[in-house]
Amino acid sequence: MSEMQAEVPYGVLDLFVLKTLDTMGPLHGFGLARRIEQTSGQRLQINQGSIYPALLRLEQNGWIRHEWGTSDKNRRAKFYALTDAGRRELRAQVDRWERTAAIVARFLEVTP
Amino acid sequence: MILRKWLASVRTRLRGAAAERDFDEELRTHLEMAVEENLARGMGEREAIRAARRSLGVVTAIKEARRQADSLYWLDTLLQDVRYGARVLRRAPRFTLAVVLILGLGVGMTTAVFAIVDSVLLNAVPFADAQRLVELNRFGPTGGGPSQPAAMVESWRNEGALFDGVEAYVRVERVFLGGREPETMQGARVSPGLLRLLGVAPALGRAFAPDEALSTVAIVGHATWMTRFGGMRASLAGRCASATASSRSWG
Repeated sequence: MSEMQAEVPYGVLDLFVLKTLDTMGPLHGFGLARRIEQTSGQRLQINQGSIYPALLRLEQNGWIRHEWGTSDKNRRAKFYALTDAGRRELRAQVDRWERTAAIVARFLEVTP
Repeated sequence: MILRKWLASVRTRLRGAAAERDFDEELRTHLEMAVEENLARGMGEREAIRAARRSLGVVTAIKEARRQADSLYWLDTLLQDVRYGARVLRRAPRFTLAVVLILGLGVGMTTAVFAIVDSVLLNAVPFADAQRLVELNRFGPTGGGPSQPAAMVESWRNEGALFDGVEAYVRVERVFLGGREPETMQGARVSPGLLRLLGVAPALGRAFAPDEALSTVAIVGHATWMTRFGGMRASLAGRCASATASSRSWG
């Protein structure tokens, strides 16, 4: 564990999952977890297992749905895909994060 | 949105054990894929498995976190609490009995009191414009009360500005001689206009005429009509005559 690794702030994992499914299309849990690790440039400390509670939550919100399918290695796996409601939610969350980030950035720009 | 969330959660719950097995399989697949990837990176088998387990996290913790993410998680917690409560109560039967008695009495008394309040205060009387009905009482140095001389009723009635109408009644008990055996009956002597004032009319027959103040005409209540007169419409006129006749003998 390097010092560069940070804990995932609450709620961010949901955003990562939605965004990853939006860009990559349907993925199974392992694929999602690996993809999120890669995208963060290994800078996030994330238990791959913590993706599963997030997946259940997102699915119960109607933002993703799952389907059993076969992986490239011919293994039975649960594939998760974004729903229309999920796409709308993603847009809303991205908006929120960009606004928040802009406000934080503005405060940090202030110099004495 | 909330409804859909609930439905999804209920669905998960109904599938119960099957959903649990599904998730076990999902985690197993996850581990297998991770091990495979580690092997491809050139790890030894043992090291590959260990690394896969490490990056997945503690399986029981994952399962617990997933249960807590379920939107019906509170139901599980509630059921656990109820079960725990039941166990504690079973272990202390005397305490349980006391609590049940206290609660039972409390609930029973509250219900009884509410029934009284409901009938006396909330739905006082089943008459038209019940909120405009008042009972007139007299208070004075020589005593008083609800019972008035007829002249007093007459003088109130003549103060037309105060009341739309003033009518009188007095509860009486009479012995009914028209049946097989003499029978005590509760009733009231009323001024002829009382029924009109209360906005009620007899279901059968006619109300009192204005000039019947001192006559011996009676109107029977529904219960008496059913028990004494068999509730029969056809015979009512004749029976009414006999009721009137016997009311003469009430004295």
